[in-house]
Amino acid sequence: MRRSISTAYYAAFHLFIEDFVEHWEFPDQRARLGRMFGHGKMSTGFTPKDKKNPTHPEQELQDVITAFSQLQKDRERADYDGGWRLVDTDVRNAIRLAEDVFAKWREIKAGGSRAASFAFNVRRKIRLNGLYPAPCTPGLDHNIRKLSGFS
Amino acid sequence: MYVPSAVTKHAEIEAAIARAQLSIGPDTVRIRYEIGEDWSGQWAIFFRIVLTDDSARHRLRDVATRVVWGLAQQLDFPGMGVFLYHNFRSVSEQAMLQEPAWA
Repeated sequence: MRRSISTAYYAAFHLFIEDFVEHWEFPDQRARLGRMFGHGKMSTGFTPKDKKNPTHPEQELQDVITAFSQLQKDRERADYDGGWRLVDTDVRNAIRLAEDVFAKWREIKAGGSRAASFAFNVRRKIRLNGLYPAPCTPGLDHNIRKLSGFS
Repeated sequence: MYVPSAVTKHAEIEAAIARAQLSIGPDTVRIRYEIGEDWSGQWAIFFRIVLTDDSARHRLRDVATRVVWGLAQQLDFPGMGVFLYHNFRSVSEQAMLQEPAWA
């Protein structure tokens, strides 16, 4: 059961990494870049413009972040908290969350021109806040490590 | 040391939970919570939600979504300085484990 939760989390984790890495402009750096993402920083970094009245795509993205953060916490416990007494519902919930992350992330990316423009802005915003590292040629390692929390 | 405002708002949180339970309906048996730091050191509110056996086994997606939304609608938890986490289990699972934190 612990392995199932961990796997559900890593499926979502790699979804984001691969999505970014495949668009990284320097092909020879993609593999290295993919290994530099910080688990912690990936759950933060986005706030809707109007928190009380988020747009639909903003809400979708918020849901993705919330689901991903829950997966992250459960994965930490599954892997390191020997005292956690897991039940079937914990596993089913982790799988549900991973499925939601996949479905909503794809919806955000493929939601037509308005959503595409939104996705571009979200990506830029997230990049600025550390979910995705910023593109940088000089000092690539230093900047990526700094932004991704990798040391 | 930073302490989120949620720590001093237990009455508000309890009231919000009660309202959320009403809106969610009978699929939710009870909701418990605690406030603390998560694995990354970020302050969070950890909800422990006990569901009926039927909803936990057959309608988890629907019910869990309604619970998460229902709670979020009642109170601005991020505005109170805490991130939200939700864990679910069924009545039968809790009966087997007998964990006081979920009782």
